[in-house]
Amino acid sequence: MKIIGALMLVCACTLFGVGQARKLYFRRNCLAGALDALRFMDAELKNGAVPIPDIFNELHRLPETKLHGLFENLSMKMESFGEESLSEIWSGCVMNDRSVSLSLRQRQELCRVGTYLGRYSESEQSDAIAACAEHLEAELKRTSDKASEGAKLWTGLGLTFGLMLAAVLI
Amino acid sequence: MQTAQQEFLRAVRLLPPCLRSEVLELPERLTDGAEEIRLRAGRAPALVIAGGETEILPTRRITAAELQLVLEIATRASAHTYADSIRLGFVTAEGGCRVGLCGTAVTDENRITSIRRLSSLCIRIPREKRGCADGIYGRLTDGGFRSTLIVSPPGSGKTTLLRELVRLLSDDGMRISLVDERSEAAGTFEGQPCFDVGARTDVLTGAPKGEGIFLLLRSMAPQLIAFDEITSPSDIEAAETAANCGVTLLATAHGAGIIDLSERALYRKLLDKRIFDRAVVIESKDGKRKYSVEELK
Repeated sequence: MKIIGALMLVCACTLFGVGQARKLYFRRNCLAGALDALRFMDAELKNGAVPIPDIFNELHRLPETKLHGLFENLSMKMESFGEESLSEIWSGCVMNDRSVSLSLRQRQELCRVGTYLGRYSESEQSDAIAACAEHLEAELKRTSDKASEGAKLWTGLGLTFGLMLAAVLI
Repeated sequence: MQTAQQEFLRAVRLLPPCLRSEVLELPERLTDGAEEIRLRAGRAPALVIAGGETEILPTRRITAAELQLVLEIATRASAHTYADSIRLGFVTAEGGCRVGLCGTAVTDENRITSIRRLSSLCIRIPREKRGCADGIYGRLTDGGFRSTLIVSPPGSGKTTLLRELVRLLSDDGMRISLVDERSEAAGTFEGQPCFDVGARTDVLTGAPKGEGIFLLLRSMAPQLIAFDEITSPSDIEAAETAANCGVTLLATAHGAGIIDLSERALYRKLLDKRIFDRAVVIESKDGKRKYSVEELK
């Protein structure tokens, strides 16, 4: 009985560690998703002068994107556009969407893009997107390094803590 | 066909929500006859009725942010897709509502490339007035419809009459091509005209009139080409080419009458070329319009 209990304790602690590690990877994936979305928007603006609601729709329909929820929300709000400005809608969605894991600073950086979207020429919107993408790329590199180091650390810590706890309790 | 109230509502939809709800509470006697909604930063909104401006909501002050939001609503938050028309000072929103823009012009080598920091907007309310051509249609089609020029001062209903004549002629069997540079005549939105322009009418939207006429001559083999507002020598050149190809024309021009037109160089040239056989002159008095047909040849 004691051994089963100890094993369960070790498993629980390890799983907690793995969970924390996954959170780090999830943030990295969200950042990568945000960068992909920005690049997609840039291409659509530059090459096709596509209207902003159509870009949001396309992004929301793209499979396997971590920002699917954010763009679904944006698309829905654009259907009844006219109550708020696009900048307000964009920052509201970016700041409040909890399905996406981004730091406050990363969200604020994305919000800045919203003040240009749909308001200025393609080149000005493109410049704003490029500036944001540059910042997020640096963040992605930092987050990736942190994720690979942190993942090992959290998993190891979880396992060690579980083993120690089991040893003490036995 | 839409009622005057529905037409007004279509323009009101472009306003920011709080202003929209206040404007919707205005009495119908004001809104039914409204031709334009005028918005100026720091001023009360106004309606243009029978050519004169009436201030509505005197205590309300329009903000620059509200003007910007109107532009965003009109362009569906995609000003970049309207860059060419913004450069020319207007955008045409859903339902053919033309929004005239005024603010700080952005220039490059002395040419306006865009407009920023909006200070005033003019939302024109397009009206579909079925039956407005009934009094002159018989005379215009007697012995077959011939090239006709509609002449009136701005805001007197040239586009409305042009649209109605296009609809009647088209439904009577004529194959018509309409060059609708500013999407006002047909109110085309996402490929579909919001106004009834007849069963046999092909609409080319957004193209400059001169180029548009040449394009339609090549592509649609029209019996009649209709276009709004002759404003440049290239329009006259294109109209002349079309007339030489045997196509009948229906167009509009700004002017108080034929004498007024003949006193201006551009239109004198147009009249000298004898492209048009007839003119319909619109006179507006106390909000009522009087149409008279004059022979030009």
